[in-house]
Amino acid sequence: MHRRRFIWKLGCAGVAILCNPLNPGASLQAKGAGASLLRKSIPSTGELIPVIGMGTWITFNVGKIQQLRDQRTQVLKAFLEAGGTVIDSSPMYGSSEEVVGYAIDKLGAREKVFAATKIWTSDAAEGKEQFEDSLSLWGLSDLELEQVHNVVNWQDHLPFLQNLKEEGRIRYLGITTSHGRRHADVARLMEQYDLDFVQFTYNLANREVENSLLPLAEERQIAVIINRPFGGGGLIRRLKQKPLPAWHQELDCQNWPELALKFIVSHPAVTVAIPATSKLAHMKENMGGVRGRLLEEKERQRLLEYVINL
Amino acid sequence: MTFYESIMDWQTLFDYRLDDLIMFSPEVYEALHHSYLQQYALMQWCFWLLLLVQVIWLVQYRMVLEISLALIWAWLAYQYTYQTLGQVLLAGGQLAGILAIQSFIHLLLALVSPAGRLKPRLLHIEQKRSVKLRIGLVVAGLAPWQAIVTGQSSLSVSYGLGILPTAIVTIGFAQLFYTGWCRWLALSIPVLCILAILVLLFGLY
Repeated sequence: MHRRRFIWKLGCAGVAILCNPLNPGASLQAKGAGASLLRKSIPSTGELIPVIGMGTWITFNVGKIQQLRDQRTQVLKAFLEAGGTVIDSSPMYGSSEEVVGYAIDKLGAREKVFAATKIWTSDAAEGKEQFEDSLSLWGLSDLELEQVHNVVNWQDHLPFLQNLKEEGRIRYLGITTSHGRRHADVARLMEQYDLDFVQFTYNLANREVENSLLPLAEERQIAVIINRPFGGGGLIRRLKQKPLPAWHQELDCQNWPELALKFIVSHPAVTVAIPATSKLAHMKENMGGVRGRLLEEKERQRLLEYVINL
Repeated sequence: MTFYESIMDWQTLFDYRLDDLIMFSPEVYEALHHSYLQQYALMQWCFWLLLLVQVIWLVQYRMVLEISLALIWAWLAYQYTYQTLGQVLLAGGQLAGILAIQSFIHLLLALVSPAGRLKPRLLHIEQKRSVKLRIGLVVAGLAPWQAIVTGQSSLSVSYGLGILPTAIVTIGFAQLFYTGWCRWLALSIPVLCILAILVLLFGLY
């Protein structure tokens, strides 16, 4: 681990424990410096991370087109300036990891990111290669989180990730799925393995996990990453055509993306949501969700009813 | 292990929808084409000239025509599919391989004797119809089909630089020259390419 990166991470973990020494697994709002930045803790360590992260599926797959690489660098810059740290990618996302690495390097932001990526292959040996490739593409000496993409060949990959964790090359391990698929497999692994993170889909239009994976994550003290918080973009496009609820400012929300994200990250079991965007304006909108306050359960239900009745 | 092997190995193929497999945005697709067109603007003129030469003159020399088609498909495989689309498409290498097979098929057809079932059909087509077919091939080759279908001028790749017009012209030549299994050999991959591009454009736009 690079020394500066190590010191930065050590500092973050220290702040987490100081903020919440008695109950490191519980969610909280950070106080003091960065007063209104919403963070939640990773149950296995108590480390605090901002509740809004950044996905890179499609949005950062721009190949070698310089103009688009530089534009995505500006998107990442806006994300980091707004207080974001968690960046999620995968070898499945084409050139996304390479472009993220390029942007991190341009911004000199190696020590500021919480790097989360995945292993995506059915072959055990190739999984090991993918991990090394990811380090190289991100330009990092270690990763915060390595996940098994869509629980593919978890039998080989999870022991490998456990070894990496013991060697200190990753700090957390996890599994992912999306679109509401493979939930039975994910639930089984959540019960059988010592996972730090689990990642799946949850949003205003897809709440399948509310009665299954979310309570299980809470019970097993596993941090939850929510992918597709805008349903792949379709949900937010539809919502933006509808009027905001008259009471949106009571929730400290200014627009639909903030409302949709606050609905998700205010769920007690959710740790972080990772919307993906290629547009600077959308990134700024999304990062509105990391400010203000979390919604109470009755406010979440009110918002949900409003959306259902639109 | 290839992209497709991975999917099959997972036994999760049906977990994925069409839009899951299109892993880049229209913005990126257009930017890639824009850059490709700028880089190879001169090549586009060369390919147009080659099309005219093929249609007017080379139709009489099937072997030379097949070799020229083999070179064009090799270009499409390497420069367009592998180097350009491959920047954002994980399966770029595999798709380039399929196009390279088409190039190999043309070489094979060039080497095969034009006797028997391979006898050029062109000789049996009436003069008038032959002229119409040749004009049709030129029009099909020059038309920037992707730009026409999507309304995006940045996708204006035509014969030689783009798959759609090249595949259409290749099918035309196969119709002119071959019958039976030789015809199917020559046009199967171009037909699949046309379908794949249309599915891609449908998914993107």
